[in-house]
Amino acid sequence: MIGFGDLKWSLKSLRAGWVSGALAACVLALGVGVTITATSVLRVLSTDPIPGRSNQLFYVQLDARSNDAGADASAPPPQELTWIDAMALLRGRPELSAAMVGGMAPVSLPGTPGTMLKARFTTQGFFRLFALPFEQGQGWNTTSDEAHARVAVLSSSIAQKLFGGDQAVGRTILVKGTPFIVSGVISPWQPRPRFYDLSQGGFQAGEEIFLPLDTAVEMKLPVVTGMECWGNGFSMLSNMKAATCSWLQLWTDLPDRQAADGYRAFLTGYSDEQRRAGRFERPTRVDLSDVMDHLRQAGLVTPMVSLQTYLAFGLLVACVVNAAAVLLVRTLRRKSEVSLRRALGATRADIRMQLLHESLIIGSVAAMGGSLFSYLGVSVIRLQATDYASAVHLDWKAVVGAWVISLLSSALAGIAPTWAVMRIQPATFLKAV
Amino acid sequence: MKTTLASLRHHKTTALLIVLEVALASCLVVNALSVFWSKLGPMYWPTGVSDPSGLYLLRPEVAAMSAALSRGHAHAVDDLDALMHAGALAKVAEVNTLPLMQEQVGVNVRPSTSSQAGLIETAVFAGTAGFVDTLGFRVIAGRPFELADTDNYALATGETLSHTVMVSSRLSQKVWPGQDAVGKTLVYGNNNEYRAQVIGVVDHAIKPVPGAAETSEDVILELVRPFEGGVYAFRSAFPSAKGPLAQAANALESVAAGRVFSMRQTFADVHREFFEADRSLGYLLVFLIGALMLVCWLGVGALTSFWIRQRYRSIGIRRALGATRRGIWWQFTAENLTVVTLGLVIGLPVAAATNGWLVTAYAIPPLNLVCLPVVAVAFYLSCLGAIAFTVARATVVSPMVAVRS
Repeated sequence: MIGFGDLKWSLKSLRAGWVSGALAACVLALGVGVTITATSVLRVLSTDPIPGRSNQLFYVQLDARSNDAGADASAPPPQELTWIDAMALLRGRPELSAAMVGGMAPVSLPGTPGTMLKARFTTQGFFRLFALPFEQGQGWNTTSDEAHARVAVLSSSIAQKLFGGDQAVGRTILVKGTPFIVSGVISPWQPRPRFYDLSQGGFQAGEEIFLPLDTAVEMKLPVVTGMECWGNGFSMLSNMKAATCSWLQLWTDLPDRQAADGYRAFLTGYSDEQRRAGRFERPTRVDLSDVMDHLRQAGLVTPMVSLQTYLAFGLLVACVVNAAAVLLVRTLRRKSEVSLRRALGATRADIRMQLLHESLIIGSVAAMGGSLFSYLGVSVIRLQATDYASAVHLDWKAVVGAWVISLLSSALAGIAPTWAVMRIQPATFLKAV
Repeated sequence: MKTTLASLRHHKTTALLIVLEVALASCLVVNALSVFWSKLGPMYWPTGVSDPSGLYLLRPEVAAMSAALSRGHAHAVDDLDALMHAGALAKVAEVNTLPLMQEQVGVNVRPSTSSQAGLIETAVFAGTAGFVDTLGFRVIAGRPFELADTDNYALATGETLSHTVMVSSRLSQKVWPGQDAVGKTLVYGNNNEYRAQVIGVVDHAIKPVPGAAETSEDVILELVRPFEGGVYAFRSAFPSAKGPLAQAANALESVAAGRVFSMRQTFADVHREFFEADRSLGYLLVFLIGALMLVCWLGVGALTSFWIRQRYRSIGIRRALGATRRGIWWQFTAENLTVVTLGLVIGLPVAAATNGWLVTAYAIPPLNLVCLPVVAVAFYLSCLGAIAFTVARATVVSPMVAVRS
């Protein structure tokens, strides 16, 4: 039990040797701060961007390249799909999948100069698949996709910019001079990492406008994607539907493991069939990965991020050893004080309790200092030019982490001094008092 | 030596903690320093571009807005013409890519010495008349490009070069070691099916995606006609009030309205952006190295100070028995050096092993062996510094301490 009397002793003795106590706390705080900063970065890069649905959304990759494409056979398939494959796979389950690509769209209101908006060209399944929150209206339907309908979904900030506070649904905007009807406005939606298209990194700003894919391709709106071409694909870019280039992302919704296995088998069959037909040249290679697998494969956690995390934990261990050393020195210096207390009737358990309390107090100070250091650390990370910088932040988990790590490490650092003191024979040191 | 070992035996916990601390810190510092070194080097590689902040770059988004853009390369001709007549601009050219721009096309070249030797993956800089001079690449052999060297821009299909090309001096040394490349025939293509004649050699020219140091300058230059989707590069004849970029953008706007530029910066910006992530990591590593050294310094200082103060009586006795101050100084310094050496003997091999594991598991650059002695010396100096004051105080302990109490 933590008795009031024990705590009084601990506080008294901390007051007596406060310099070394403070030094130990500072060193621990440094270690904790750096560790929390590094893990905050790591957590941003490996958080589940769409909790609840991440294990039933799957990303599809096929190896449609020709043999002369340069990459060896063991290399992973291209990040994206060709138009032909994406459309064939989409046709099988239009409500449960979405093909998409990033792009740019020049948008204006009649009679005003236009601006370039960050766009996503996609099919109607997108909104249901990723459970996009609608502020007004809704997405479009399969018929609109097939009819190359002139419909658009806007982000709330763009709707605000174009129409002020007015109702946006039903209004007309011009995309590259062509009138489009606004069918819906989504509330701010920004999954991080932006898992559904990692071709431009995981932390790009969100889209401002969503347009039907067929319509965008027909209008030749510029796309921004991780395109890979083979054969004479580069020379066919004016006809992106036929080009031997991979440029479309395809996501599909598979509710359970069984469905995923079934779909994987279907993809293998499709790939074999394409090879028999002469379209695919390489050995069948099918990748079907859920959200977290897809993030892992994309390598958002770069070697350098891993390295900095290791170094941060290494620094923490070095700080614990250091704090142990400082506390040891401090305790051994007070051998006579401890001996006196023992002679006056304190049991070993009492002494041990006193040292434990001291460790906990130092740990608490370290936790507060560590939180401060990690706040500084995260602020510095946010100033960096890396794309994830703005997504790094401190949350309650980080603060709890700081406390847990601090208390654990101060307790750990307290082991050596406690052990040393326990070995003291009171009689030896009483002489010196 | 005997006294040293005896005293270490007497203070096992303290000595063990110092050893542990030095071992841990040195292991981490070696790895951090090695990575830092590997990231720092490429920042100082010569890019070949002279006066980086004076080279301005504009790249109009291709399928951007107006229908005028469907005119393809004719458009680029008009653009370049407009830029050349924009007044304050000198040296205007269009290029497909630039050093460190991260967009790379190239052909595979086979060394002349052996047809069996591996293919050299090159990067090709294709530019319009005067681009070598505009970028500032230095021609060190042969002649500059002439109009007759112009060919169609065929790289978009990933295929063939012009009939005449320039190569970088590094590439020339790889393909024709010890010979003059000018006048030689360059054989390229995956099946050696194409030929081009080398008319000149440029000094430095770094790839858009440099990769390793040995292959970072395997570069071919060719002269092409204006084409769609390139980067307009130009230098200013004299500083203009509005800034050359704004002036050039205006000139292009007058050719076709509603331009969107996906690139609007100087080459110095390209260089800075390329190394941005490495620079961030560099700062972080320097901070971690500093923190580790500081923590180690504090720990060793605190432990040693305690350890020595505990022994004032025995110092007094030794002094009374005739030990010199120098002898006392040496006793504690030797003790410290022994403990630090023990720490390094554990720490450095562990560092090498850790690095080996990191190289295979995370593809970080392999250990730079220079780091080992550098870190060792740094730790000796830092630990000697940490104990200097305490040891100096110990040497002036009066022999009288021995007889007190």
